[in-house]
Amino acid sequence: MSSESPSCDLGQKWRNETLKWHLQTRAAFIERLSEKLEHSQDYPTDTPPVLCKLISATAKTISEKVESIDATQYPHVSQLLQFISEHLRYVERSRIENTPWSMIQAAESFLKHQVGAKYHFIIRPQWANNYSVTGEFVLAYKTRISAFHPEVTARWKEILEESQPFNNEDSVFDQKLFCVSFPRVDRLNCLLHANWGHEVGHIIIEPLMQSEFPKLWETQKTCIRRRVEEEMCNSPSPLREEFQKNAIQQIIAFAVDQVMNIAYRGLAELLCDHIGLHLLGPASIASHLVFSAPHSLDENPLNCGNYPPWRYRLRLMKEACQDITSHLEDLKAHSILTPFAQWLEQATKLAEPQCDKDEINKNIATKEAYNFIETHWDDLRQQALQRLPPASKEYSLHASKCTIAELVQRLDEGIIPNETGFFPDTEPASFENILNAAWVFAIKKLQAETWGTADDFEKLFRLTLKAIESSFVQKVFGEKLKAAK
Amino acid sequence: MSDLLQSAKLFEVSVRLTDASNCLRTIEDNEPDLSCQESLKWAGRFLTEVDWNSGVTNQGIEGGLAVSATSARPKFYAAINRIAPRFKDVGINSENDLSAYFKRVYSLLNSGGTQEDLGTEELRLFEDLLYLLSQSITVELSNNGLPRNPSFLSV
Repeated sequence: MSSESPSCDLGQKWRNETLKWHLQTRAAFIERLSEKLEHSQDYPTDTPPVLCKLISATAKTISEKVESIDATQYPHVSQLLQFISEHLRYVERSRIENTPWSMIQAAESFLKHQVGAKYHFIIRPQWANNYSVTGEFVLAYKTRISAFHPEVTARWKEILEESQPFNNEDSVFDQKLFCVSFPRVDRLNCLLHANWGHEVGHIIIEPLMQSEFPKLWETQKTCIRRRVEEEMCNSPSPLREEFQKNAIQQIIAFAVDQVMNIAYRGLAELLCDHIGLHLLGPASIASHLVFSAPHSLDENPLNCGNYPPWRYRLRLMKEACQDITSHLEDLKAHSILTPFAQWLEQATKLAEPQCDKDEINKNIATKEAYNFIETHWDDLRQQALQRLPPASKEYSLHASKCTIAELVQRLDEGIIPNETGFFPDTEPASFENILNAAWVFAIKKLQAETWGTADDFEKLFRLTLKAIESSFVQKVFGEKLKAAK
Repeated sequence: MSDLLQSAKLFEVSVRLTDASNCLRTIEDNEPDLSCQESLKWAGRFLTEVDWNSGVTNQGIEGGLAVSATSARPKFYAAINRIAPRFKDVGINSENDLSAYFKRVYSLLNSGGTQEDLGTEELRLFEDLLYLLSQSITVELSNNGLPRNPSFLSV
């Protein structure tokens, strides 16, 4: 490959020859490491070994086929190996010793219930102080490997099908594999684990964003470009005069790319907030409030990875939460729920000032991106919620208040809140109700001056996690046991 | 979340641009084979979407590709800036010359490399532009082998 200057080509032959054996060896070692991790057998579910098989099949394909790939593509092969090898950390960190394993099965079951049986989840802690979801792995690997020669893709498919990563009859290429990460220091903090509702939102809205966003972008990209151009044409680049137009276009293209990325990220995060709200109700707002409490509420998306300002997110969640907009007075009248309802009422006052919007309007890229978001928000929100299973009803604390009161009563007595009713007529509590009850209990107790130490919280977390595990076991095996009797 | 898929699509774009660059080299001496023709046509569709000056509206472009094109566009103009010192070697002295040159290149790409009316140096120039564009995408994806989040030394 020639380059900007002929002298840059010197030594290219040596690099290509060196890269060939380096890449081959690297691929072989990644394959071995993924096989070793696959057989570690101390995972809370069968999903982590599936990712090992995907990585192993990809590494094996590269190891076998690197000879047939043109040397100019070696940087891409290297990038592919770097990409897949980094995913082994998801597997390694999902071992039982690292996870709140008592709730992993229940959490995966809850997630699958929302998105379908062909979806599989690895749940693991990370040292970063964030919740996140990564994926979808099968499609991402397929897209990358398919960029090479068809012969490489064919071999990859063959190896992957032979390894039968998923324990079911369906084609591996129809399966969806994700990794949900949570902050390691909050491993037991089931109050913040209500953020998982937001993360499952990413999985639900992914196909929507992939299909709809490009269409919407297509309809508005020319107008956005024109407005960005008008705004920026007063600051031409001082680069070569004869090609100044090109230099200006580079600056405008950069800004338009920013608009697209901010709009995409903003829409995705806002839609996920609303999926989380739909699934987990006020618990999702409460975890959002606590998570955002130490941070600037009005930061411009350009300063924080294109994420929407916290205040903007809170405002949209508050407006959509029926428990706040329609039932707050009723909730406040219910003695056990009063402290939590009052706490929500006070906290959501944060949504009233418009400082976040002022910040957004200061920059042409964020201003255009949020114009785009506001134009399409109602329609996309509706479409996103329609992607939930038909049985998925919007969670209502108001509708569950009697159940919540019973679960809070159990927590008060130091009993795990896994069920309601009296033996033998008991009913396992739902994942959603257990999380909301934990919030209601925590806020109620925080008003009592004698509660709120780390030990108090740890006791609450352990009771809640145990409840999630027990109710899951009851739901899965309870009916079978009854039938057996 | 979609970063994994978006980066996979950009990776695909980068691989295909390198392929097209390789194909341009081969058509200097030989007729392009079918695989090369497809590769060049794909590059033509993609680049005419990327380049605001192409004068082509790709009604049939896949949606995902329009998004990838928006991401690649700043890198495309940056790549042009990087090779600008070589424009004079092939007789490009003004923006009009540049525009005319790109029109001929797009015509070549869209024909799958069969309608060639570019000189060897002109082909080489575009071959290098494609390579630079592909490389800048790879650099973004891999961070050129460097750590992504260097610690803040000031705090």
